[in-house]
Amino acid sequence: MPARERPTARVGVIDLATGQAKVSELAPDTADQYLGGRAAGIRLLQDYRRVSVDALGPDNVVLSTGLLGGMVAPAASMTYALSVSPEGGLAGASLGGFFGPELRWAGLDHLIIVGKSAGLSYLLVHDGKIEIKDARSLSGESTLATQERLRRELDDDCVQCLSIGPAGEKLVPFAGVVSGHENPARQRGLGAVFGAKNLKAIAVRGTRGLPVKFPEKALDYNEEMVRSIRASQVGRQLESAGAVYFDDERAATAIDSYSIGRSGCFGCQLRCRYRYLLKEGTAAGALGETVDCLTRAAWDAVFGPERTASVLAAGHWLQSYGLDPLETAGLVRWAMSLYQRGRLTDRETGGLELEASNDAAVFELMGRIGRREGLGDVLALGRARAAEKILPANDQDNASLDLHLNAAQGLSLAASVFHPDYLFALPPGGEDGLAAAAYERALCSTAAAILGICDLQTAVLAADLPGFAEFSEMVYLNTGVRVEPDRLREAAARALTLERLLSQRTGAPAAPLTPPLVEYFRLAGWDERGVPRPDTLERLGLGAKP
Amino acid sequence: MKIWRFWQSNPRRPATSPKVLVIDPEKCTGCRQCELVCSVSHTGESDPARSRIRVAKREEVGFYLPMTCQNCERAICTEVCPAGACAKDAELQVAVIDPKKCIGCKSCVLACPFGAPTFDEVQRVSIKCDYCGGQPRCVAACSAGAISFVDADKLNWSRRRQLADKLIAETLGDRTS
Repeated sequence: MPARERPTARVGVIDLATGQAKVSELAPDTADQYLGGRAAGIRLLQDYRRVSVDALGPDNVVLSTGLLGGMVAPAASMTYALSVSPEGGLAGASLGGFFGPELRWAGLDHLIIVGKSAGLSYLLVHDGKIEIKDARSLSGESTLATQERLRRELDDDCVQCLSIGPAGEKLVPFAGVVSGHENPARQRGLGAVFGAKNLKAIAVRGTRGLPVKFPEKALDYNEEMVRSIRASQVGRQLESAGAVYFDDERAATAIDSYSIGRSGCFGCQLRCRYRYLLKEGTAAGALGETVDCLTRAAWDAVFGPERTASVLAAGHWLQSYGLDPLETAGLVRWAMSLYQRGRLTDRETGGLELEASNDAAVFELMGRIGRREGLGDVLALGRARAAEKILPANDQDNASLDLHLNAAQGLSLAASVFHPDYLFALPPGGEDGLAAAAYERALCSTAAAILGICDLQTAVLAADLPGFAEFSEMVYLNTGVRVEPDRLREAAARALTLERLLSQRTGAPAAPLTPPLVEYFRLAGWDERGVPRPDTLERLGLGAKP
Repeated sequence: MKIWRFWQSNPRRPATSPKVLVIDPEKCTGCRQCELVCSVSHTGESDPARSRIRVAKREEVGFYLPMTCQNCERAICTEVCPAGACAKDAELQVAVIDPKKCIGCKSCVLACPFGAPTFDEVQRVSIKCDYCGGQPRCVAACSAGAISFVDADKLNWSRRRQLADKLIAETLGDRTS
């Protein structure tokens, strides 16, 4: 049997403590087994994980781009940032935009960042050269301003950045990283991991070409894919209503008076994001982008219905501070409820009148959470620990944020180690086959993450969208490497199992067991508590100690 | 009718009007698909630095402007070229650069008021949009419809239609609804 073809990738390892960086090829067995993208990233995280994990220690970070990042495939734009979460388990972000393609044009596919820098710094990757630069002047700066300032400092509009805001610097356990105007949702403290490493931002710029094996065929095939995606129901929904009102096309008109147009990630034909200009309030004149409909639902619950302007402004502030939109909404909602019940007084809120009608107070509270000031410092501890501090032991306040997740969404969330991007767009499934559908989606989404393409326009959401067979063809036409659909599926299963193992070993909180979740575990070859079975580890070549 | 016949028989008029790429920045989503397909189809590589169309992005204000050849009637790029490499293509009526003749002096890059030609660091010659031989790939690839390829004499048609539609809606709206 001839040796299997394997993709190649270049890995940069940067030690922030010593300032050393070295670039090497991805190990052949990792490329063989995990192919690339987030799957290879998870293996690199395991290889480079710090052994002792203390909460908010400067844990190691892996950034991975996919096999097709920046190449001829629908929305081949993704970057996956992976680490161990300060709260236990894994932290991760999948970022669209332009960072991933730029990193590949700079000649690198994966970055591994170890150690802690002595002072606040940023990483500059420019055409294969890696430098650690002083970022002390960026201390306390918002994510958006940081990116803008780096572009100006480097005098290059094409520089792409990934940055933390004040929340990450202050180690808020639900701080995220932002690239462009990303929505830092459910990254499980990735921003705090950056903060603990004194890593304010990563700036990349590349002018190296990525050779496409069969250029004309790849372009033609991509045109065909794009046509079918745009003709599909999901495609039409994303194109017309975008991610904000995906669930409610008619409501999309609510955003029209704020919108200055749509925007898309690299090479994406669906433009699911709105660019909106804030006209009034404390953020007047600011530009916002990317509020997905789960985030919108959470902030609708904070402000009440028909408050489009306030929800959009909240999106802007969350991106600026680098705060998780859902966690933050829950905390703000809770603080408002305590304030209404007189459990929090003006003295404790520092004079903030926490009413739904008072946007300015709500945004100021978000700022204080991000900067860890006053009440914000207490809330930044998270709901449970904040309650210990500000509520008498016998008081229970159950004000919570119901996102009204349907059964399919609930199961996908419970079964996933990382926040599934497609969650907001999941239609409710029937009770039958719920687990099988969820597992199939997880495999397909992971395969998309191997390629580095956005999973919103894949078979994850509907059978008429590109799936394993099409992924395989895209990889072949772009790279010339034959990766059969079954091999992609197997690599995805291996990555899901390794994610699971790593997440459990690092102390992830367990999701409540439900019959569909147990069935999902069974399909994945894991036991009834979600621990991968020995025969599964054997089958996937993960051995006794992978 | 008379005017129509005159138009047809006017000997000074070229048989066909040149085509031009028309860009609508309001529709552009900044996704850079045009840069991708342009560089891949011309160089076989994904490499925006070698794309003949570039999106000028101002992220802080959310403004995206794809820029490429405007197909000037009096094309300065052809006038400044000392090597005779940059000349109007007889069929497409657009300036194209012959890489075999180009001496890499970058005069066209500097002279173009729209910054359309670029210096290709790999081939070491100036490059510019050549309409992909008559079927520009960026037009087909732009799903936002921000780039179109139209006859120069029909450039303002869409504007006129828009205005007419607006007036119809305003004046006849009651009757048509």
